[in-house]
Amino acid sequence: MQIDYNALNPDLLGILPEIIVTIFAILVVFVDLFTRGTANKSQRLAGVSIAGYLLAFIVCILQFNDIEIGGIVFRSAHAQVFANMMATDNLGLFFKMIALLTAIVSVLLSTLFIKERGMALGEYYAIMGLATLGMMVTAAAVDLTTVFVGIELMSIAIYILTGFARNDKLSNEASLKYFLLGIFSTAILVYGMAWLYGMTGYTNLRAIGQVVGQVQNSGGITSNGGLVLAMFLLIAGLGFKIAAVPFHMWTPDAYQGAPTPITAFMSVGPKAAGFIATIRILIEALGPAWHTWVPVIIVLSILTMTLGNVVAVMQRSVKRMLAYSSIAHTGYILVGLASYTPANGQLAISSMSFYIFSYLIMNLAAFGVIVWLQRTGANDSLESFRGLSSWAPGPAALMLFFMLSLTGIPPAIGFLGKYYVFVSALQAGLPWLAVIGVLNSAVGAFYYLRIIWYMYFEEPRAAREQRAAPALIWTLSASAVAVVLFFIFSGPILDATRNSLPQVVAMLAGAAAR
Amino acid sequence: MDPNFLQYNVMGFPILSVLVYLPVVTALALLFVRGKRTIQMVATIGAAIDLALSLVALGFYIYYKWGYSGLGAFDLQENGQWLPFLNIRYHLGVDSISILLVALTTLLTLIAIAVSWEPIQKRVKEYYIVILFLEAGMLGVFVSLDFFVFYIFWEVMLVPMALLIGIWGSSNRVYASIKFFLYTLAGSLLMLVAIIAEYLSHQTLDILQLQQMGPYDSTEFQNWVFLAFAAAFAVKVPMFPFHTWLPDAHVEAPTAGSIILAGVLLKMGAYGFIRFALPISPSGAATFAPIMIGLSVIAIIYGALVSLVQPDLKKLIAYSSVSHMGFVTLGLFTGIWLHEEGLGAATQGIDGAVIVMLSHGFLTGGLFLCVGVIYNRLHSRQISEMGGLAKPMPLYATMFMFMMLGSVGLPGLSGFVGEFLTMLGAFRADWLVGTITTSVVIFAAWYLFWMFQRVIFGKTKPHSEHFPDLNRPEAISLVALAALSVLLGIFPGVVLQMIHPATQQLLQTAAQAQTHAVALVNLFR
Repeated sequence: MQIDYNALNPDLLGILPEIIVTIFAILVVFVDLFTRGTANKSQRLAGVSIAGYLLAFIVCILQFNDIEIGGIVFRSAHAQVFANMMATDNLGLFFKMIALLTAIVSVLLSTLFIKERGMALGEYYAIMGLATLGMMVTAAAVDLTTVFVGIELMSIAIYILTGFARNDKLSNEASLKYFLLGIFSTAILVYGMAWLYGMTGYTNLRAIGQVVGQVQNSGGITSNGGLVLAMFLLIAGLGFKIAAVPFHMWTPDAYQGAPTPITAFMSVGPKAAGFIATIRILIEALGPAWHTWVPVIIVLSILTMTLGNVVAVMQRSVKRMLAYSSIAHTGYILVGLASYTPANGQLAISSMSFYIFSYLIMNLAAFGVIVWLQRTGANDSLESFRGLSSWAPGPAALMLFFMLSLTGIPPAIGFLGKYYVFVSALQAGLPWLAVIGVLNSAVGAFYYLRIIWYMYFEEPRAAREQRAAPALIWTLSASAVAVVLFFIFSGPILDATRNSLPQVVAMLAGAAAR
Repeated sequence: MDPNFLQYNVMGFPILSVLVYLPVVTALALLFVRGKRTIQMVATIGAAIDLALSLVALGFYIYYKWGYSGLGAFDLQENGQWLPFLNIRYHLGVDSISILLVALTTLLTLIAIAVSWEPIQKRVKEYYIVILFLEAGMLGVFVSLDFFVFYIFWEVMLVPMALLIGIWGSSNRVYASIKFFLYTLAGSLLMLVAIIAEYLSHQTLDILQLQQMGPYDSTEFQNWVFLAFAAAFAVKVPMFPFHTWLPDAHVEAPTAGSIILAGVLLKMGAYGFIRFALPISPSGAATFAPIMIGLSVIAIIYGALVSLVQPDLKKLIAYSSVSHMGFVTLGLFTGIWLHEEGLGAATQGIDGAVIVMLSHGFLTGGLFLCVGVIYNRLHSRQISEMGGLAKPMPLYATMFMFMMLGSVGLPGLSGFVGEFLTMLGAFRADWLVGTITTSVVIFAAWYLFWMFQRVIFGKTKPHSEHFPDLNRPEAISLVALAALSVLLGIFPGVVLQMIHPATQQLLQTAAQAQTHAVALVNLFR
């Protein structure tokens, strides 16, 4: 029988990865229900969810590279599907892959930790799957409504995960704080969306972009108070999601209180999703008004980098320190966004995407070492790292790598991320912003190096019992290798980020080049 | 692979990559080796092979360049695409200056490893891994011809050195290590901005191309670029106000760390000036040359004076390093100061600077080794606790004397040649600068002879009567360094003939750009 593959529904093909992740998130619950309490149930459930993420990841790669298998073209035939609600472009696919990678690594970090702390297994993996689904929806969303649905799906799932250690007071507190501030910021975001809709009459970002372009041409966006208000409200709402100063207040408490694998997950996933939503809204919808929002972003990025780095220096809890460090990294990524001009669009967006990719690997892995350390009975204080290298040389060496990468010292991927962002800033004519970023890196070096100093230069109080965690150690080792290899062979990733541009940016860049 | 990868390589073999990555491979191999003895052997053999390879490269370079295209030219190049759209290339290559420094590096690393067999008993495996990574970083700095690649190796070097000081150093090691790290990191981050600025204005990071284009930039741009470079290199040299990390780092570092620090790491800064700052931003260098000359003179005098009053033997030699490196920067900047007056006058100072770099590697490396020898036996560095060591340790006393005399600048040893040339350059630049630096040599003789007298002669202290003399690795290392110093002292012509074309080339583009600029000015006048 001849099958007409061209008749495959372009709408469904456009969200194929999301469908797969949804199916597996539900499947995990069923597997949990129908297996008896065996010893390695957690590993089994982790295996099911990873299988789902991997499958979705492969589909994303097939779509991204337009690979055909047996005559089936996996990429949707339409640029936007579901009545222009979701885009099928490379930018969305790239961020879907970021979300899936984050989920895979987080699951690998979680398995033993979750089981030993007696948390509900099936729900854990299912909710994590739904959070990932939320990020993926956000990645592809090109309509205010889908952006909102994606962000809310992700956020609500993560509120739950933050409080997942039910018997831990800190975890409960973190969850409540995150929830209250989170819904507050969502309200701001929705209010901004409402103004944007009211002023332009559309919810589709590209349609809004055209109206904003007309407004810009006929007297400038500043002549339209409603649009300016919408812009500020949206920046504030999104700033919360990416933890930009002054919308960062929730970060340290939520990061410290959440179970460590969840901290790892939420330090990367929601941030990436927040950034893709920011890119889509600010560049695709408000792109013509870049003169107005770029200065705001510049100020935000300077504040974010500086406050994140300076406050991180004073932290004694490594989880809190990494929370402030993640704020600082938001600042570096914002440097990439601040360097947006129509002519510089490709460089700006690809530098941000690459930075987020590099941040994903090194930050997840750094939290992974804390997970490992906590399994030996230590807490997350700086003291627990004292003399680590003498009783556990392997994990200490891994942590050394991740800290150097976060500092931005070659040959680690973190350096290339910073380099690329600063190149973009200089290209956009913001040399002083690059200098501020560079000086911030020097401040950052101090607290990352302090961990190295505690691990290597100090003597341990007492050696702790090490417990076998092969999956964890293998994940961390693979991350360390990735941190170096993706630096040396970064060509394919860089090319991928350069090919992941929203249509409108490519068009504007082309026009500016002419 | 890029078909033109080895286009300008007389050997047709990527020997520089092998040189740089062999220590890394050795370090990774060490991960799988057990037993202290085996670890030491593997590390030593790896370093020895690397030394042999560097000598092969040196031999090939000299053999092919002597008659054909001239000794100054770059060769043994490897040039391939790396990150095409940022125009970053994997470009390695050496000229006569860098190949000599490569050989110096491999030699001193082997010595550093060999003399660590006995004193290092703590975390042996990590120790050699760290030293080998350090070696890879240092070699990479000397052979890279792409700014991005250069920066990577420059930073790679930083971490192992900090670990070396911080883990195996003496009592105040953590402070010294962090100070070293933050000083050098702050400097090199500013250089990073300059690198990106060069990339954006020329769309390339290839050093050979930048050396052609850089001199034609506007003077203002060159001034800024030069300042950013100088921030990185002056800290590394170290030049006068940025030197404070050096005594701390030296005093706290283990012997091997001090040898490498003095012998190679300090040369990085000077090499950076020679390879990047002077050729790429000559107008910037000329603008700031008076300041740099002034700082160099201060460093020479200050280092000597502080050495005089040091009760700590290692600190004394550390400060003498500040003084000697002052000669290097003096030679470099009198050279750039003079380059408008014709090449003959200008190259003298720079030739001299390169010779001082090599000679300082042999002699101060040797002196730090001597300090290490006595520290292993006495467990103190205080000069007051030493004395009369000639009696129990005659061989040691002899070798120590050799190194000391070389440092003073005795004719016939290498120290004299370089200092003589730089002073010649200084006199040509300004008689006052020349007079001051020449008279400071008296201080050098004073503090070194006085130190030697207190350590080696006099009454033997009871606790040091039974000190064993040099063991075999120590003796071989010191004799080798002394022999090289004698060779360089008696036949400086051979080395000069090698490096002279390179320094000449360095100044030529600068001079061309200058005439070009002058011609432009005349045109519009």
